[in-house]
Amino acid sequence: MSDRRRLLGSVNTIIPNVDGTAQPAKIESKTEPRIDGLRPFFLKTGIIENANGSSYLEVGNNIIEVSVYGPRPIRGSFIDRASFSVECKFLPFISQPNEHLYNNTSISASSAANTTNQTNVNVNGRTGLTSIEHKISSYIETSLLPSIVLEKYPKSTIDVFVTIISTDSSLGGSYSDTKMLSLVNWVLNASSVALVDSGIEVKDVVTSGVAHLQNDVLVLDPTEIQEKDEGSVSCVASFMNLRNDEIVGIWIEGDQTNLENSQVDHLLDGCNDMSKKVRANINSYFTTS
Amino acid sequence: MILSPAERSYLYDSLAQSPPIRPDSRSDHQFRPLEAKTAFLPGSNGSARIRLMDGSECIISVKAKVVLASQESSLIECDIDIAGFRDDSNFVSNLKFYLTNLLLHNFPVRYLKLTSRYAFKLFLDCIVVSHSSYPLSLISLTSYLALKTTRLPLLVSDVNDEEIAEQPTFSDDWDNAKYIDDYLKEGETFEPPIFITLGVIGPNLIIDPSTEEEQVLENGLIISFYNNNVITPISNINLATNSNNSNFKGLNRTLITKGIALGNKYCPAIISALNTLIEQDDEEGTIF
Repeated sequence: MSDRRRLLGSVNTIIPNVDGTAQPAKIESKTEPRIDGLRPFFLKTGIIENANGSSYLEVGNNIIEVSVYGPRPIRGSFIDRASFSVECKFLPFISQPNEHLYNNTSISASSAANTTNQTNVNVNGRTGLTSIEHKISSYIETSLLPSIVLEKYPKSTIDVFVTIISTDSSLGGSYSDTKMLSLVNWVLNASSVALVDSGIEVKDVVTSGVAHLQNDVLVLDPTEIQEKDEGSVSCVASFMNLRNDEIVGIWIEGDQTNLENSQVDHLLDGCNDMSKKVRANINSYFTTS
Repeated sequence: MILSPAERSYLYDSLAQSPPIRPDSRSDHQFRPLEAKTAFLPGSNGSARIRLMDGSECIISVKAKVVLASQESSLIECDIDIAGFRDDSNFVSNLKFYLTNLLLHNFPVRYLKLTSRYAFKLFLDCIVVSHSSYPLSLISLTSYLALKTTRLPLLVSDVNDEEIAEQPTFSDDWDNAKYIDDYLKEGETFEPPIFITLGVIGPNLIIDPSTEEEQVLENGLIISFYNNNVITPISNINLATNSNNSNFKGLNRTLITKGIALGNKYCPAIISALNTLIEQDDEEGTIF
C-alpha cells in the first residue's frame, strides 16, 4: 500500500548511476609522444564448476586464474554487510617480481636455484603468503571493495582467490617495478571479470590500466623497458568508468627525484584510456559470448 | 572502538564540511602531538622511539653489519613487529612492504659503501608496542629519527681494496663514529624518506587521521616525501581495519593532485620539527 499523504514521485524512478561532481577540465595535452598499443589478451569465464564465478586470463606470458566464492553464508554473529576478502597466490615455482627484495630470498640462494631451473627456493610447503602476494591481495581488495554492493548480502562472505599460473619473465630484469605493476593490472582486470561472472551485484565493473613514463614518453601496457633510467615512473590505476571515472585503486612507483603533478596527470590519463579499452573488450566479451 | 550509526553520520558530516571540523579540533593539515627520544639503545647504531598522546608507541633500532656488497640484494632491510598481530598477517606484511619499498627506492645507499667490496648493511627492527590508528606514518617518522641519529664506526683501513684484498677495520673509539649526514657533500643534508597518511572525506583531505576518523573515511592516500619533494611510492588504501566501512568509495582524481600539493606544502614543516626534536634531545634525559 503506497503512502497517499505525501508526494513521493513515481514508483519506478531510476536514479542515474553518476554523481554530480564535475570532471576536472581536461588539460589539452600537447602532442606528447605516446605508445598506445595494448597487447591482445585471451579471456574466458566460467571454467571452474564449483566456484560461483571464475575467469581465466592470458596476456603475454602472464596467465592468471581467478575464482569467486560467494556470497557464502557465515555462522555466528550477525553482520549487515557481506565481508569481502581477496587472496592472491603465485604457483610455487613461479618467480615473483622483485622477490629477492621483499621475500627474504637472498641473491645467492635464488641464483643457485636458477641453475636448477627453480626460481623460488623454500616456497614449496609454505603456508602463508609472501609479502608481494599480500600486497597484491590488498590492492585488489581495496580496488574492488567500493564497487560491490555489500549491503545486498548480509550474513555472508565473498571470497576471491587469485592464482598466478605464469608470469612475464621477459619484462625487464629481476628488479622491475613495472613488471609488478603490470601484473597487478591484469590481476585486477581478471578479478573484475570473475566478479561479474559470479553474478554478485556491482555498481560498476572496475577496470584498470598501467602506464610507464620515461623521458616524457608515455607507454601504455609496457612490455619491455629500455635501460633503467633516472626519472622513470610507472603507475597502475583502477577506475569505475561509468561512475565518473572514479579512481578506486592507484599505485605509483618510480626512481625519480621529484614527482610533478603534470607527470601524475599524464600517467592517470594514460591509465584511464587503457582501462576504457580493457572495459570495451570485456563488454564485448560478455555481450558476444 | 566501533562507532554507532548516529556517531558515524555526525562525524562524517563534520569532516565533510569545509573547512573540516575534526573531533580533536585539529586543522586539516595538523599532526597529532608526539613525543620522541633518540639514541637510547646502547647496543644499536641508531634508535628512536615515538609516543603519541593516545598511547601509540613505536620503537626502532638500526643495526649495521659489514657485508660483501655483491652477495646482498639490498643494503637496507626492515622487519616490523606489531603487538597483537601475527607476523604473517596481511596487516603486518603490508606495512613491511611499504617501509621496505620506500627505503629501497629513496635511501642513499651509496653512502653505505665502505670499499669496492664491502659495505654496511642496515637492519631496521621496528616494534609497535601499541597503536590505535593505522601505524604507517608513526613507523615512518620513527624510522626517520632512528636513521638520522644512526652512527657508523669510522673506517681506518684503506678504501681502495681492488688490488689487495683487505678486511675493513674500524676505529675503536666510538666518539669517532660518524653520522650518515657526515658522509654527504657540503650543503647537502641527509633526510631519510617519510610516509604520510591522508584521509579522503567529501572534498577534503585530512592529514594523519585518528582512529575515529578512519572509520568514516571515503578513502585513504599514502604519500611519500624525500629531499623536499613528494616522490613515489604513492598509493591508496582502506585505512579502516574492518572492511565494514560503508562510506568507502572511489576517489576523484583532483584529490590525488591535491594530496601531492598538500604533501609538498606541509611535509617540510614535519621534517624541520623532527630535526629540531633531534637537536633538543639531550643525551642524559630519561627515556620514561
